This record gives sequence, structure tokens and C-alpha cells, in this order.
Amino acid sequence: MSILKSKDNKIARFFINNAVPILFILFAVFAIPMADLSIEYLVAEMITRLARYSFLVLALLIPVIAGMGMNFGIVLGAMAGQVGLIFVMDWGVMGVPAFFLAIIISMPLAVFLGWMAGIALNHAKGREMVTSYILGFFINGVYQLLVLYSMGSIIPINNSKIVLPRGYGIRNAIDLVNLRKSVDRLIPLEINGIEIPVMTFILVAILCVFIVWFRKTKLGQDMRAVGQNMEVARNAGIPVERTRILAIVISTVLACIGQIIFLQNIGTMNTYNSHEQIGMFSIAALLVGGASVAKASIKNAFVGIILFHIMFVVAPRAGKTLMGEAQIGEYFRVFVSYAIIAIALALHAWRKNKEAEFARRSLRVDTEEAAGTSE
Amino acid sequence: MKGWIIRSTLILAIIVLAVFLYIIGKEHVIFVENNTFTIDGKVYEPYDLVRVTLDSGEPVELKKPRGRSLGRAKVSTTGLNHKVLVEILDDDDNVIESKEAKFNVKNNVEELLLNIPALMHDAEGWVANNQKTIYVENKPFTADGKTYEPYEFVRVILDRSKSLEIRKPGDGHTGMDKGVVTDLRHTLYIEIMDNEEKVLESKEVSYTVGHAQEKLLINIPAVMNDVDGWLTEYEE
Repeated sequence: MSILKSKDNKIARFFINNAVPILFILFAVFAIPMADLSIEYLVAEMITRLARYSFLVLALLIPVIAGMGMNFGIVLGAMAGQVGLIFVMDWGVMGVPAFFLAIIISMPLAVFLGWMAGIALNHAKGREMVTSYILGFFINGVYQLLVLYSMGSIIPINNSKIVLPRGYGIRNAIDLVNLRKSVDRLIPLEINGIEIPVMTFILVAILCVFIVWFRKTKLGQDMRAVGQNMEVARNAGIPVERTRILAIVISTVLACIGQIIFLQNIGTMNTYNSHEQIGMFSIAALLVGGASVAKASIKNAFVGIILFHIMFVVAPRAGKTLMGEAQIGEYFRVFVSYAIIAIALALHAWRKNKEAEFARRSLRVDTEEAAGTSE
Repeated sequence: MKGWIIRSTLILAIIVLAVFLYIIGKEHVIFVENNTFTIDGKVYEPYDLVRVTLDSGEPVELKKPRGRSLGRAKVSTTGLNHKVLVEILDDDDNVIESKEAKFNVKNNVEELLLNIPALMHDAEGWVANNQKTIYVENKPFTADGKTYEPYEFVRVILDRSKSLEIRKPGDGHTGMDKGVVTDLRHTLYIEIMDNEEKVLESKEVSYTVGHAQEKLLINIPAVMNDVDGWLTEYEE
């Protein structure tokens, strides 16, 4: 009986732990045939989207190790990356040098924003996600002020292609023609007509190796200890606040590089909007991959990007087949991306309660067994 | 102390890397033209058909300009040192003459004009900055013993796009301003205004800049009075 019970528990646990990816796999199984898209097209889309989003999603992992949940503040890094791109476009730098120059220019800004966010989050322990979310809105206001009024007036910007006709402020859309796919096509490779962005994947692979290596370092171990219990970590002599700030700084810098990779792939920068959805979509993708607020891995990131973006690609077509209107599918995918975050957060809270209840129950059984033995 | 040295060296290395990336990645637009080139009274005529290869890029073919054709091609390039191969072709695309030349670009130069007939004859100015700085002055101008006085307030529009507002010299005003224009043919629109910015008089003139000229000076009182010598080379 107890064996059966433990088997049931294991199955239940598996389904509870993987509820979101299972939901998405079911969705994909149902929607892909309806969308009637060729396998080649789907594979090409997934390769493009993996190259485009991997760096941004992987940037979320380090704050999770430090117990700070999903860092909605990656939009801060994204904004820093965009500032770097504006300067590079103004100076008329082209190709791969433009990509690395944008990273160098934006990195000090990303470090500063990350450090500032880290300090703010240390004052909001236990509420890091909502704080970083609101912090994103605040810095967005500062960014808009900088880009809309200071650039071209206080900060010299001379390229008429990116400055508004009035002489100051940056245009709403910047054509990154000098930068488009410069990294993606650095090592050209085409398999069955599908373009493989080899260099971008190499950069993503380097980041994966860095994350694996980082977890084993002293700082990585400190972050894990802080993530498990801050008080215990502090008593063990770990500088908790400093460690948490470093986690956010690293995440913001990685997000900054991720945004530059993302925009060089897209080829157009929407100055006032490109960064806004980045946090939400990256977090949704990671959660779809089976990650939780407390635990996330590289595997979750890749599985999540594939599943989440399968929905992005097939939903409008499936909506058209099902309802006769692509708009329904479009609505559905926006609605679902927000719903995933809500479901994942609710599941996390529910799982935590269940685990606590399970721990209490097993403690009670142990006490009863101990009492029976003594009788 | 050791930590500071390492950090400072690292920051310095990053700055050097950024400068290096800027230099090697900076875009220079080169307008290759198969057009008539005039210098010191000598005229070099364009060829019927030329093929131009810049560095290791795609070759471009240019025909002799006819009608509205400018006989030009725009090529984007990066870096400071360049090599150009010019091949003069006959009607059957056979190379009848070829020449290779090297040139450098200053990092702050955005656009260059490369004239093929001039290059083939080793004429000075075969490669020149395509951006010309136009200095406009509202200052007294003397010609044939007569002095033309400056105006109170002038608005100048260069090539129907860049507007300059120049007051009479004195009271903190220099009586001078400048604007950057590209290419060789230009227009200048002048509005003479009173202190309430009411237009009293206006005039439009066209002018051509030489290939090798980079800085020019225009005198407003001279333009308004049709006096020769209103356009001269600017000397610092």
C-alpha cells in the first residue's frame, strides 16, 4: 500500500513540477497540425528565435541562484544596450566592430544600473520581483527623458538619420542596417536552406560554460548559500548584501549584451519600445521551460524558448484555422504569455504550501511511529 | 596597490580596444564617379565604360554620364587604408587599360569622392572629401574701391536644408557662421531681414565647388550686390 502511495506521489510530483511545460507540449501537439506550417519553416523559426533570445533568458539564471527570483530588472540592461547602439549608429560604425563597441559603451551604464537595482532590491528582501518590475518602469522614464530630450541637445548626436527633424531626440525607429545580422553571419553556414547563426550560438555556448563554471566558484557557492537562507549565510561570514548586488549586476550586464544580440538579429531598433517586453517575454519563456522562482537551469532556458516560441509562431495560424481570424491567435499568444507567469507563480506558491504540509505530515508519522515503538 | 594597477591596466586596455574598434569599423562612403574633372585649366573627360573594384568588394561598372545619369556609384567601406583597381573596358568588356592606386581616409571623413579620369591621369585631387564646409560671412566687402556694408540680420539656407542666422558683427556677434554640405553643386538662399524678422529682400544663387576644395567662404553683401569674388577658398 505504502509502495503504491509513494509511486502515486512520485507521478503526482512529476506532474506538479512540470505542469507548465506539459501544458505547453499539449498545446503544441494540438496547435501545430492546425497551423499547417511546414517542419522546415518551424525549425528555421526556432533556430532564429533560439539565437535571438537565449542570451536574454540565460541572463535570468544568476539572480535565481541568489534567491532573488525572476529579475524583471533585465530591462535596465536592455536599455543600457540600446543607448550603446544609438551611439554606435551615430558614429557610423559598421559590422562586428559596431557590435563589440556597443557592448563596451553600454557596459559601464549596465553595471551602474545593476548596482543601483541591487541596492534597491536589498531594501526590499522577499519582494524582489515586484520591486524589480516597478524599477523597470522608473528607469524607463529616465531613459525616455534621456533619449527624447537630452540626446541631440546636451549629448551630441549628429546623424540626421537617427535624430528627430526638430534637432534633438532620437527617432522612434532606427534602422540598424550597419549592424543587421553582423554577428549571426560572421561564420556563414546553411543547412537545407536554413541559415544557422553559428557565431551567436558560440556566444551562447560561452555563456552556458560561464554559468556552469560560475556556480562552482566561491562567489557562485556564496550566491547559492544566500539563496537558500540569508541568515545562515550571514552567520557563515558571507557578505549577503554584496553578493546579492553582484548577482543583479551580472544579470544586468548579460541582459545588456543579450539585447544587443537580439537587436542585431532583428535589424531595427524601436527606441521607445524594444526593451519594454523583454523582461516579460524572457521570464515567460524560462517559466515555460519548467523553471520556478526558486530553481532554474540552462535546460529550462532552452526548452522554454522552444516551447514558448512554438506558441508564438503557430498561435496566429491556429487561431485563423480555428476561428477564421488570425487576430484571435494573436490575442491568444499575448494573453497566454501573461497567463504563464501567473500560473507559474501560483503553482510555485501552491507547491511550497504542499511541501510544507508534506513535511509536517511526515514529521507527525515519524513521531507516531516513535511513540508506537516505545510502547 | 597591485589590484589598482591591474584594474587601471584593464580599463586602459578596454579604452584602447574601443578606439581600435571605432577606427576599423567606421563607415566611409565613397562616391566613385566617371565624370569630367577640371583642375588648373586641364579637363579630363570620362570614359565610355569603366569597372572599379574597391578593396576586395564587388566590382561596379560605370558608363559615361548621359542625360540625367550622374555616372556615379556609392560604395560603403570601413578602415583607413584602401586599394582601388580601375579597368577601362571596350564595347566587348575587354580590358584596354587598367590602373591600381592606394589611398588613405582620415577617420573623421564621412564621404569621399573618387574621380576616375583624374585617377587615370594622376591629377591632384582624384580622391577628395565630399563634405564641404561653407563659411558664410555678413561682413564688409571691398571690390574696385567700393565697400559693401553688412546687413543687420540675415538668414541663409544652404542647399534648401541647413539654415544659418547671422547678425551684423559687433555686440557679441562675429558676423559669421558655417554649415557642412555634400557634393559639388549647391544652392544658397538668402533672406535679408529687419530686427522683427520681417523679410526685406531675398535672393537665390547656385554655385559649384571644385573636387579638391574643402572649405569655402561666401560673403553675403557681395552676393546681394552681384559682385565678383563672393565665393572664395576659406583660409584659417
